Amino acid sequence: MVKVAVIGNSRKHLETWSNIKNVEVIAIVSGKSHEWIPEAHQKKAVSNAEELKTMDVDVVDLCVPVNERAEWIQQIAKEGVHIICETPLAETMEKASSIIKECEAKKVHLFVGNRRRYSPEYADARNQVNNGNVGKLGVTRLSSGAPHPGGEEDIITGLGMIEFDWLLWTFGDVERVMAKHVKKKRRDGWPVEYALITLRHRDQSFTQVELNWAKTTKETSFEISGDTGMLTFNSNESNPISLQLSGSEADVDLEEAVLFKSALERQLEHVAAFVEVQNKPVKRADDALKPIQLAEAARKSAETGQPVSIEGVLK
Amino acid sequence: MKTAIISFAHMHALAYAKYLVEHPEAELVAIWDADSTRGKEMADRFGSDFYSDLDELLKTDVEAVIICSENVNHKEHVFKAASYKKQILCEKPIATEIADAKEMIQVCDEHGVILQVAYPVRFVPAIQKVKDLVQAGKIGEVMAVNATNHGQMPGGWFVEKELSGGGSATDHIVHIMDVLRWMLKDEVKTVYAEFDTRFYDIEVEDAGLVTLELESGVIVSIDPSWSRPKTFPTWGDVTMEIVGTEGTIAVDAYKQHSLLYNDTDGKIQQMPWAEDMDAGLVNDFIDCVKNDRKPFISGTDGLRTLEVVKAAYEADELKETVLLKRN
Repeated sequence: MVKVAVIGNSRKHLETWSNIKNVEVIAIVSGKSHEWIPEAHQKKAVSNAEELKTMDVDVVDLCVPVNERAEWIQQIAKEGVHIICETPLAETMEKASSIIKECEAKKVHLFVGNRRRYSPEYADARNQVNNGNVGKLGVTRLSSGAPHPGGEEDIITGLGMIEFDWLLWTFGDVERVMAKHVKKKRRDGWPVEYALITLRHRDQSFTQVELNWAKTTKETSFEISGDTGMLTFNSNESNPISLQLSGSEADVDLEEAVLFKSALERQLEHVAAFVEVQNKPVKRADDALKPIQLAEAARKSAETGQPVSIEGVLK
Repeated sequence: MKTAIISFAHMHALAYAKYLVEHPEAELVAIWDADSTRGKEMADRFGSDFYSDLDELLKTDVEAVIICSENVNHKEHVFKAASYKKQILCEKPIATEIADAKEMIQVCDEHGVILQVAYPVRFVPAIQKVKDLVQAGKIGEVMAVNATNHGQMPGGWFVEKELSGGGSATDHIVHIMDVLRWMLKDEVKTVYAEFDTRFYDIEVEDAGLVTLELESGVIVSIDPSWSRPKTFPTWGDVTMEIVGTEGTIAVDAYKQHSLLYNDTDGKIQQMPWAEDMDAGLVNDFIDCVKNDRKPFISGTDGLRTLEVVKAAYEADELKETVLLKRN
């Protein structure tokens, strides 16, 4: 049995862990407010991470905002407990590198996840690229859109990171970045934000990433063209169900992919399976630096109006 | 009105010829082509006279000509037609060099003839509708445009640099650029682009991405790649997603089609049923000539878009953002 502690207010993570066999959530660290925790889990609530010391936790699932992760990880790593969290690991390369070093020093395995890698359509696309189904890569177009969530986080972190991680993993390292970024306010004061990022990979293929926080719904798409074919996907055109209810608003959420097993569940299941065998999660921290590096280069390019070279390949 | 077509090198000539023939007030009386086999075949097909000598054709009482020669030959043919005081509709791009485009505009001015550049995308009903919506402020203040003008690799003289002046960037940036200038009433401030040859073993570029900033601050991406596979159900696409503060408009100029699953030829094909944009272009040209009015797509419009193409090649060369200089 894999014993998990969830840190932060993520009902979704908690519920997803509960679906996975051989996993038990034994503690939920959620600060002062416990109201969000479902009844069945209420008695597992603890106020701070200190209390985890006395428990036999295999892995901590860190579900806190990006700017709080470094501090938490430092604290947890001290206790020698393995950690998983979602990409990005931190706001800056510097902070992320020091977290990784800290975990290495404490021999703690850090798994930085990206649900995108476990989304069936994106996982399949990567396999097809690797199998040579489109041949030599030419121009890839990726798009991710959603309503603006509000808050301080920029679109490059908020929407970009999971795209960056997936595209680096699928198409390889990036040599040069050109980015444009605009943020404005709607008439009602709510922010809208948009970025266009053009990448030149080390193999000289191109990727364009469109990030759009002016959408009314969540949408993603990709188009991967190569010299022997092209692979396309658009979330708007891939839903097998269309529901129209007369006389009332649809209260059935069809936005989430129609899957028995969500991408998050696939990811957490993968983590759990590894922990069960090895007593620790697979280490996936080094991969976590590259998307942050790419985001930093994109921000710099958007600021200066010039392309930015990515110097040196990260280890 | 008597009209002629100068060269069928560009395949758009076929559509222009069809709409000249169909026009109630126009006749396609003469055709010249450097390739006499092709020229004669076209003359037969459209019930027209073939001329092997362009001067002979231009000496006749033909009032207007449509020039569809290879890109590098536009200049010579425009000069010659203007010198015979013929009204001109010239296939895009206007020229392959900025200096040539400027001279062409000047020569046509001097001879008092119309020089209209063929940007048929302005005549797509959906594009006009989108222009109206954007200009009416329906999506608020425009922030960004993500556009594509993809194609299959056209082959032929299009991939011979000495005839085309360049590959997919030369072929495909100008359509989007023209529509954006027209729709947003804006000009380009900075250009960044990278190109490469990734899909085919040809001497010109077939892949790349262009990033622009307009004077107003609107950001734009144009993908002009010949990235459509051979199995793609049509020649290519023209798409734009226009993002405003109050909403987004996405337009797919060739969406008005039915899909034919064609067992006879072993392929899936888009069969357009849209109102044809080439008809709109040709009819507008004839109307310009008849009523002696200025074309709403001018030689200067051709020059402005060519400037963007040239700046894009320069940016690719330097791997630096280029500040656009208008001539």
